[in-house]
Amino acid sequence: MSEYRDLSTDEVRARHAASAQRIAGLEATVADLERQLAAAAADLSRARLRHDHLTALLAWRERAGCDDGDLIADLDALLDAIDARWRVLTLEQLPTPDLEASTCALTLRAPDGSRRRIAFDGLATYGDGALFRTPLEPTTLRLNQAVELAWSEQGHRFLSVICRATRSRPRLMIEISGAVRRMSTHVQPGA
Amino acid sequence: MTPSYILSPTDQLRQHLVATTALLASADAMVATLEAQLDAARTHRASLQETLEPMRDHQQALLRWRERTKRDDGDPIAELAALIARITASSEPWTLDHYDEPAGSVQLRAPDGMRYHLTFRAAKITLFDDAGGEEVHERKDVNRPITRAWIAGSAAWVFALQPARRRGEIRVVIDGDIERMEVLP
Repeated sequence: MSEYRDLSTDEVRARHAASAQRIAGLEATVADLERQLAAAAADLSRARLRHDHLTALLAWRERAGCDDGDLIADLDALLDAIDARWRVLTLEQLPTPDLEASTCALTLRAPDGSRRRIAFDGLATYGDGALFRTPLEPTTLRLNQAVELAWSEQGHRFLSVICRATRSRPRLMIEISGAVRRMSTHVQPGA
Repeated sequence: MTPSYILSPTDQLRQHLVATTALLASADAMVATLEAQLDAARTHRASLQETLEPMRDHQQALLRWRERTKRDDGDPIAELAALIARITASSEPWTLDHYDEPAGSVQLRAPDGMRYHLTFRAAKITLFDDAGGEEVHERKDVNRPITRAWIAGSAAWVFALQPARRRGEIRVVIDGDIERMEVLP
C-alpha cells in the first residue's frame, strides 16, 4: 500500500526535499573528506621529501666527515635550474666510471664556459631515452648534447639525465644509481 | 637529554630526522585514516542513493500527478507499482489485450478475467524486440502473455511479453506518467 496515498501534497513535497537534503549532506561529507585527504597527502609528500633529504644529507655528512654544507640541496637546485632552462647545459663528459670504487663522475658545461663536475657513489647505466632502459654502449660521440631533463629520486637514490635527441643522434638517457659525493665548479680560463 | 645548544649542526640534523620520521609516520597514518573514512562515506552515499533514488522517482512522479490533477491525496504511482508486482508474482500469466498509442492507454487482463485499463499522460508507447535494441513496428502483439513487468525510473513502465515461436520477447515500454487506472466491468 502506498505510504503517500493519505499524505497531503505538501507532506509529499517535504519528504522529497528531506531526501534531497540527506543526499546533499553526504555529498558535502564526501567533498570535505576529499579536501582533507588532499591536504594530508600533500603533508605526507612534504614529510617524505624532507625525510629523504635529511637521510641523504646525513649519509653524505657521515661519509664526507664534515659538519656543514648541504650537497643534496645544491644538487637539487642545479636540477631545478636544468629543468627550468633545459637548453642551457650540455654534457661535456660522460660519467667516467671507477669500477673499483663503484663511483663515477660527469661534467656539465654552461654557456658561459663554466663546468660543473658531479661525482656519485654509484655507477651509471645508459639507455636510449626513447626505449627506456635499453642498454646503450657509452661512446664519446655523444658528448656535447644538451641536457633536456634531469631529476633525482632521493628515496631510491638515483639521478636521471636525459640528453636531447639531435638529427644524427638519438636521445641519451643516463641513470646513476647512488648518492652524490662531490660537486665542483670550474670556471673556464678566459671565459 | 643533551641541550641542543651544544649539539653539532649534524647532530641537530639527526634530531630533525627523528622528528621528521615521526611526522612522516603520523602523516602516513592520517592519509590511511582519511582514505578509510572517505571509502566508507562513498559506500554510504552509494547505498543511500540506491535506496533513495527509486523513492525520489516515485515522489517526483506523484508530485507531477498531484499538481496536474490538483488533488491533495491519492497515489496512482503506487497503485500501478502494486499491479506490476502482482503481474510479476503471478503464476498464471496476465495478457496484454489492447494498447492505443494515441490515447496512451493499455488494457491488461488478469488470469481471473479482471481487466484493467491504464491511461498514461503524454505517453510514448514503444515496442522492442528481446535484444532490447530494435524497435518493432508491427502491431500484432496483442493477446500475448506478459511474463514480467517493471518500472524503469518514475516515468517508464515496461511489460515484457512472452517470446513467440517466430519472434523473440517483445517489450512494451510506456514512457509517461500514469494518469488513471480503472477496473473494467
